[in-house]
Amino acid sequence: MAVGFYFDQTRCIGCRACQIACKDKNRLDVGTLYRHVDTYTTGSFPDVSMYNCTLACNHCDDPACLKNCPVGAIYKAPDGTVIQDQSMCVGCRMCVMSCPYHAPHYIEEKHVSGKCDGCYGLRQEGNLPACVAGCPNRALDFGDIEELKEKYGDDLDVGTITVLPSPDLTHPNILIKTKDCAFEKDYKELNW
Amino acid sequence: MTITDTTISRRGFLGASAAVAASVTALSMTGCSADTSLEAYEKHELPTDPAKDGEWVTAACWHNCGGRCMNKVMVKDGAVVRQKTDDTHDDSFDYPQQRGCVRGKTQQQQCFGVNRLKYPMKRKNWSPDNPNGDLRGKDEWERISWDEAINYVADQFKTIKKKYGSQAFLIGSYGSTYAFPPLLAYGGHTSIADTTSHGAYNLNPATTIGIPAYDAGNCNDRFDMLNADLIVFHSSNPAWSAAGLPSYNYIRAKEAGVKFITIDPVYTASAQLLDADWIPIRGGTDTAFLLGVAYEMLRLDKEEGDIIDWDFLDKYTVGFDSKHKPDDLKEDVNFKDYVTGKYDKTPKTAEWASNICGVSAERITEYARQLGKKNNVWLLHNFAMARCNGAENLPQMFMTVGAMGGHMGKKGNCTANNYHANAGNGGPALVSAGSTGFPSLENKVPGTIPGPQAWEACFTGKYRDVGNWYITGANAGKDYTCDIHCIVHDENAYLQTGPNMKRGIEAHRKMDFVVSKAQFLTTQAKYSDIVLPVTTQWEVPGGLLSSNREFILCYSKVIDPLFEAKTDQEINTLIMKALGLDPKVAYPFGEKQGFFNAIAGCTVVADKDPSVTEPLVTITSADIKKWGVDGKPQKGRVSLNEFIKNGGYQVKRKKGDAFSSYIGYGDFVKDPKAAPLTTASGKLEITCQAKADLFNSFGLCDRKYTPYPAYIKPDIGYETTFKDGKIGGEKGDYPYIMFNPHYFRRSHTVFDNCPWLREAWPNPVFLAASDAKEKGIVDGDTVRVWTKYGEVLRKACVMENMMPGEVGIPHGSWVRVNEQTGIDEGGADNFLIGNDISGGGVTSYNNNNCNFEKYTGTPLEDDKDTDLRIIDLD
Repeated sequence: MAVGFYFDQTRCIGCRACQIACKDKNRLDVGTLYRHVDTYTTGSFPDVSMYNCTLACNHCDDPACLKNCPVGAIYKAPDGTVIQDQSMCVGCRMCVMSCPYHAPHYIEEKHVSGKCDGCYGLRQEGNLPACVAGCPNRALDFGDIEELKEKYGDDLDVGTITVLPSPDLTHPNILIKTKDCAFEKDYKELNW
Repeated sequence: MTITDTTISRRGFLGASAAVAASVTALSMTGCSADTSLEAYEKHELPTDPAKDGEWVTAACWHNCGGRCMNKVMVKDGAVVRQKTDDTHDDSFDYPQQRGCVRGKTQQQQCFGVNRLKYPMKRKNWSPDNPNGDLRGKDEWERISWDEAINYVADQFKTIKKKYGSQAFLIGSYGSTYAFPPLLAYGGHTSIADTTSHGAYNLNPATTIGIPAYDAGNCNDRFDMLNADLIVFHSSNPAWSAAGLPSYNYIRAKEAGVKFITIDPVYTASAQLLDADWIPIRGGTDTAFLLGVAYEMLRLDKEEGDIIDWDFLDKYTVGFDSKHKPDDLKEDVNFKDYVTGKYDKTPKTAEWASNICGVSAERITEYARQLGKKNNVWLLHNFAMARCNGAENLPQMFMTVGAMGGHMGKKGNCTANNYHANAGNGGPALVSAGSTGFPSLENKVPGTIPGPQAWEACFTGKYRDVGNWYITGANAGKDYTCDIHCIVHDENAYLQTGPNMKRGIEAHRKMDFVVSKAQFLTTQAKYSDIVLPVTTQWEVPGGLLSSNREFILCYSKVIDPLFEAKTDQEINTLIMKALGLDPKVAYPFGEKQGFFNAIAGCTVVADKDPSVTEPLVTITSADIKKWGVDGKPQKGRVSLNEFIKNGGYQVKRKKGDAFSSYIGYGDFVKDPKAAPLTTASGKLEITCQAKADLFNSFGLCDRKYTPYPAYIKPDIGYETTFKDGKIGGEKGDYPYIMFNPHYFRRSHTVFDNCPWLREAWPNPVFLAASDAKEKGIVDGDTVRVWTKYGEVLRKACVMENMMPGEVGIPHGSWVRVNEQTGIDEGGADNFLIGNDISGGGVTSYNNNNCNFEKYTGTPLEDDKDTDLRIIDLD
């Protein structure tokens, strides 16, 4: 079984509401982001295209963080959610360094790492993950990957857009309804 | 409520809710091996929701962003532990949840920020005998009691009124009805009226050219956008400036196949969302662009046919050509003869327009074709284009182009603004809040200073009143004198959001007395002598906020006032008592009664007939008793408890419902004789004597206004980026056009100090890639931007998605003047803007001239790492 996020890039305005909903739910200070949003342009003036990418943990089939954690603090829940047991974390940052998506973050003040657990606790109460429920444009969803494919179509991208590392590395569970420009090779980050 | 019984719990609360640690602890790297571990979940305790079983309270989100979306907070063990947005009903395009934006999600950091002001405070070197005004903004603060604070304020008010009269008080505000009841009751005060958001749209009451005030209300209902072929966003970026529901409605139109065009110096977040075709345009040149479009519509209509809706022009407008002369016109002129060059031998061709606005002639022609009468067009604008020098005729010009294509008063077509919660969703409110019943007091001091003259008037003692825009509208110019000795900052952030800030700071330093209500050391508070800590809306009994036409938000109290903060009503009551006034003239009853009155007065349209309204909330005798208020039981659609619990009320919409048929100008177009406009002719006036007469009565400059929408060469704008003011010549000292995009980190100035938002939105200077390259500037470099008025530092954001020649300084950033260099390191837009005024009193926000360079001094730190202005007086 596998769970992950669905991201409709064609509906995203890059507002960072998901990023802050995540910080709110996980009570994260400045400097720690379990989800982050980036904006990119392709082309040059005036023939420009633009897109956003929002990324948290992809709850990979082959999670590098889990495999590299020396103390066994990272595990898979029965539904496939990749979860970190922070009480066991020794702060070695192997997960931070091994994840190609930079999903785990080292939290300096606590000397431990942390990451997205797809709001596992919230979901057990019948709620959506905070980022999904908080998106003003309904550009995010979370769930069983096969069910998401059924809901949103099976022609979705599995993480091959230019700004993401190859999905062959960890087999991420992410489904993206892409904009064409997200496949253009040359891009520029727009940190406006 | 006193400090003693609340401090401890509230301090704990503050810590739990908003800890914003700033420590940079050195790390020790723990050795670790990369053994693969495939952990079984049984060995671990699966996560649970730590906030489970808390209580959700609907919280206020009350800012001038135009959203008023649903915001809920979970209170658990006396602390706010989480926020969420609307989940009160299933979500669909027809009946969408009222989901809030990134700023609303950060509201907790505004209410419980570590930088909240806790106590009344006084500037150390200020005293009634010697204000030491030069130290405003540099001085230290000392804690004082409420008694001391109120006495200082009342004594100063008494002394100043006695010495100089009520005109000596100046309220940093946008009009006197928003202003401060204690001074209104004490004899009044001098007012400021800036053209703020709406720019030149302030100049057109509905009795001149025929569009409603602020061009509001004539957008069709949201369901009608699905009938459009094309939706135009002219100088409009609703994704940022109308956050909340509007973008979601537009997504529906995009997914249904509606095409979008954006006309803007920036390829915006909205353009990106809607795959809009971008027409990049120079800031402040929109009138010229539209004149070129009108010329091309005429030409294409002649050569290809079917572009201009002559029937519409004939039936619903006057002054387009010589055959439709309005009766009251003093000279025999018309729009068509102006456009074709009969009066000035300059036909306003696509090439003529292109030279000014930077849009290619071919694109102007194509756009003229797209606006043709065969297309169903929603022609929408926001106001950035009208916040420019020389934009006086733009509202009339925009209306003219809409009328030429016949894009009004029919299905799939409208010509309207795209503003705040009503962006893309026009029509009368389907659900409305009642009145609190608090009286509004009259201001007995005549005279309103136009925004750009406000601070200068503190030195010269002179100004010319041309209207109190949001209260009484534009009026003929009248000269006044004044002798200002005291500035009061109540609800508005006028020093920060009004123009000419650098001079404003000097004006503050000249005063006998400056007092602010504040939640933080805002710009207003920083340059004050006494600062009174006021609550946020999370600390008042509750209230109602109107949102889009189908929703009102009802918020409740989240927590008692923090530390020693008091509500506006409490503070004003204390000041009035100290002045020997009866507070009952402003506050005949308490805040809770006001809240109750507003709820009891709520109305909702009948299910099938939008013209009939009925009470919304059922109120029982038991409710009245429980609330401890005066009132009468009534029957409505939802119970009081349900209304409070749901956080308001949303009308359930369905495609094809009785309300979706709302069409702007609908009644007028259906029968112009039975439902005429309020203009002299009863029609839209493309040539308008009343407009020309009103504009020519302002007398702020020597421009002569024509009845038709002629191009106005701005005093400051694109032309003045050239040395001799002539386009195409040698560039001058300030070769770039500077504009102030509304920025997603803030709502104007509010939220600017919230750490999560500072991290998410860095507030750089927007530079076009080719301009930056010429100066060797790359992303993240510190850049100095300067105008003839001031200089600021910002980090560079190098953009391919912005027109070269433009420089964007995001609006509303809190000023942070380095007293050694005189440079503002906060990047405040208004630190760079001076007292340039456009004919009718319009503040020139978006076509100022500037220059920039890579800064050679110490690089600027990121805003997220800068001082949060924590005032520790414990």
